[in-house]
Amino acid sequence: MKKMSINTLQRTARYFISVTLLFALVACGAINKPFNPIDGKRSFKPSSIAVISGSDRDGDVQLAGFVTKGLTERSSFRVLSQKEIEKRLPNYPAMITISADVKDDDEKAIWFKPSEKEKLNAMQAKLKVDYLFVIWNSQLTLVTSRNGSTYYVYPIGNMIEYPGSKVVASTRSVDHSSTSILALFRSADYYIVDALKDAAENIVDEFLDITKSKKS
Amino acid sequence: MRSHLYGSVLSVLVLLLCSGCAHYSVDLNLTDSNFKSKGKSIAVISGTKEPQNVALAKLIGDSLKKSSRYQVASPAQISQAVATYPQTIKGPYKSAYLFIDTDWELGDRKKISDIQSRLGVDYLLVIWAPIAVYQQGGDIGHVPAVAQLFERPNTKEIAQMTLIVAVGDEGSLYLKEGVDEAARQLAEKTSMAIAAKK
Repeated sequence: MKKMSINTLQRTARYFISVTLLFALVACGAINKPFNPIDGKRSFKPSSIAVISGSDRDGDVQLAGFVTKGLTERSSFRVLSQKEIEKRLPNYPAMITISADVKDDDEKAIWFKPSEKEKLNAMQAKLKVDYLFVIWNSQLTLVTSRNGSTYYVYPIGNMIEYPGSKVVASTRSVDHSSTSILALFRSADYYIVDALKDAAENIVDEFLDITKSKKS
Repeated sequence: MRSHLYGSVLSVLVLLLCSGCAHYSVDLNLTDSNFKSKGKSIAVISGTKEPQNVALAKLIGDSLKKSSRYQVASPAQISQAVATYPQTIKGPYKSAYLFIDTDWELGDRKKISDIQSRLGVDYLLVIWAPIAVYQQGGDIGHVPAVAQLFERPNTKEIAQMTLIVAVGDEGSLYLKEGVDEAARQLAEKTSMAIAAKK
């Protein structure tokens, strides 16, 4: 076994996924339901909500931050800031384990493992909000071609209503951001963050539409 | 931007990686060239809550126990001293999406110092392995990581380590190779390898 320098391998790892994914049709046929009510007839009460990052991964934390910002600015819900959540939950973000049993075509998936419900309920007890919206970026993929690179993000999530601890909505979506000539002047993460911003905006758009909570 | 600069060597590197030549890469550098060991106790901890990160820290701790004169804190000792272990500790990087964008000046030294004093160890190795990168449809993934070694009492940084280990092979042999190499370099460069025993 030969040993490669760390810099070489770091670059290789990045390209490794780039090249192989060139042949993958990553977003084709993917479900895009940014905010899907479990029961279409259910009405939502504009009250308090906390958007919870499902882990301490950068993608999850960023996504939760962007959705929080969007809901704060555009909805009539009282939205807990991420800072306030950190203050009330010292170990935030906690690791909420994603279930491996979700089917590929499930548009109303419950993403967290049943055993994680207790953890979420304990969070709600400290946050004292009417809704918890737990969210992850489940995957990040990169496709490259001669024309540039495209980053795909795949947000998933669930909104839980309290009291009752009932899952009332599910998120399963895909968004992307493609590089341009300006990529030469931008940081490596620019397009990933851009895709996450777009994804958050789509989630918030659907949220406002479904919950009828657009700020007047 | 860096991705555009190295395009010409891309295909060669991908072929090397795909052919199975590289299963790990470990690079540990002492930041203090006059370093002399002042103690034997050490704890190896995860800087994130990611399962692969927690596992990697434990495995390096186990390997270090076998290959060095360090007295390595057990997972039970760590959990007892740090009630909410694993914790999220801000690490020496700007971001970690598809790769770790390292910046050794960053990190939450206050939190690390607090953990080190709770553990009461001479040395603390904190490892951050927040992501795992997989080829679409492939079983073998790569876990990039960065780590820092700190010395008591002032949480002085002694060493910086960057590593990439392969995961997903049958029997986790690739991972074991990478883990053993990380422990070997740490033991040798801090003059704590068993072979260096006088």
